[in-house]
Amino acid sequence: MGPGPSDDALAHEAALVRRAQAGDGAAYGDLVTMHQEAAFRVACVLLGSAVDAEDAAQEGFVRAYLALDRFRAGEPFRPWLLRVVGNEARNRRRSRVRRDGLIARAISAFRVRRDVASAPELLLLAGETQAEVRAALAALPEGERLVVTCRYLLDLSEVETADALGIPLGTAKSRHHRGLRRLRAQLEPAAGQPEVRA
Amino acid sequence: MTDPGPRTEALLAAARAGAAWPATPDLRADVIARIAAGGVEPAPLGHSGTARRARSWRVARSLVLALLAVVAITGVAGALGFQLPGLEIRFVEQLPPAGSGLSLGTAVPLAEARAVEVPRVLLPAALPQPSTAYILGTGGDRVVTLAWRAAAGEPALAGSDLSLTLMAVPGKVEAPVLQKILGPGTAIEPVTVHGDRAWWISGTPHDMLIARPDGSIRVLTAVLAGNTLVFARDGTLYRIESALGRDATIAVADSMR
Repeated sequence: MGPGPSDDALAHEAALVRRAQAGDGAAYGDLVTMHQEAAFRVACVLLGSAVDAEDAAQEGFVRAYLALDRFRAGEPFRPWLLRVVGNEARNRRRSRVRRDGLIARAISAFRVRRDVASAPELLLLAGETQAEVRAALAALPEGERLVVTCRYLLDLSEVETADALGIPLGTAKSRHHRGLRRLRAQLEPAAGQPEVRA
Repeated sequence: MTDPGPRTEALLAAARAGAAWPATPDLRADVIARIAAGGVEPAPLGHSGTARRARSWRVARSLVLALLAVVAITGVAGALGFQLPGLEIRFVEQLPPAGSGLSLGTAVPLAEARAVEVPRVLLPAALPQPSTAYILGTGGDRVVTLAWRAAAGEPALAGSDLSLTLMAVPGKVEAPVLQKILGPGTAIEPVTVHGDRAWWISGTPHDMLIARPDGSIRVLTAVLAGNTLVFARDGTLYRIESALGRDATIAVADSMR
């Protein structure tokens, strides 16, 4: 996972947030540009559709703007924003399930269970070179797979992962730990067996 | 921090680098346009606590008024013996069994229905637990039916509160026999369930003929008027009457264990 943002970047972001809180739309636009990729990808993972993810991310940005007075100055902006976008995406997913009701459960829930490889985060890993990771991720329980996806494919921090998925930080940590342990068991050379070198 | 292990870490890094994310749309213009069009602004700093308290007071006041209204209505209803003009209020311990009044048999616990050996009813993994289980008849004429109540907003089978019934009968089904009793206005389409032959019957209400294990023919009378998926497995004929449409119903059948 990459290094976090520099102090300069955080200071610049904090200045943009202050201006946006004062009603500066252009400053908020800059914040949108800075974070739209992470917001969109979190929504993609949660909703599985780029079109739905775009709508959810856009709505999330609008809601975040309306709630800027509740953002505490000095805190990092991205985890807070991803919490808002994650909430929006999860609400949309729940609405979709309620709307489709039994039909959705009959078609999608069963098919997703039967074919975990169709999970949206796994569809990102195309090609033979990714097949091993894809298979290992597909074997994880959904909660662990989402945490590992956020941490390693989205490069989110633990706090951002917990906020985006709407779970307590401790839960994110334990799922991360368990998920990695399972991945390691599948992807590392078998414990106790010496690695064969040519 | 958990150590992922060198190979796992390398594979995950490669996966991150090679992940085929959809192109990120440029949201800036749309977000700014929506904010501008809505004429909305974040609440002024330093007033958020006051604003929230004011909003909380307004919400609390609305709740109190709503509660008073309910108390008043309940009081009137109580005075009238829960009889209001055009409205009767009854309190029941629980809703009647889903599908009651449809002559599906005697409502039984699900475990009892599943314990029946002939016919053996299977549960669809794609659906939640059935709302009600029924047993009708005895011996070779026994029919086990599972019924799912339609939730609010979900399609229901005509004349019922159900979205789907799964009926298990001893026997098998063959197209020539099956088609004999289907009248005009009823379409029969061959489909597959678990790779085996099945039939999707749609259109007007229909009874059907089925072959019993002893070779005799039996009329299976339609209880409802919904479209039906029919297939047989291991000596049991399954008849799924469904308001969910063909593909969803086949998915339900595919998930039966």
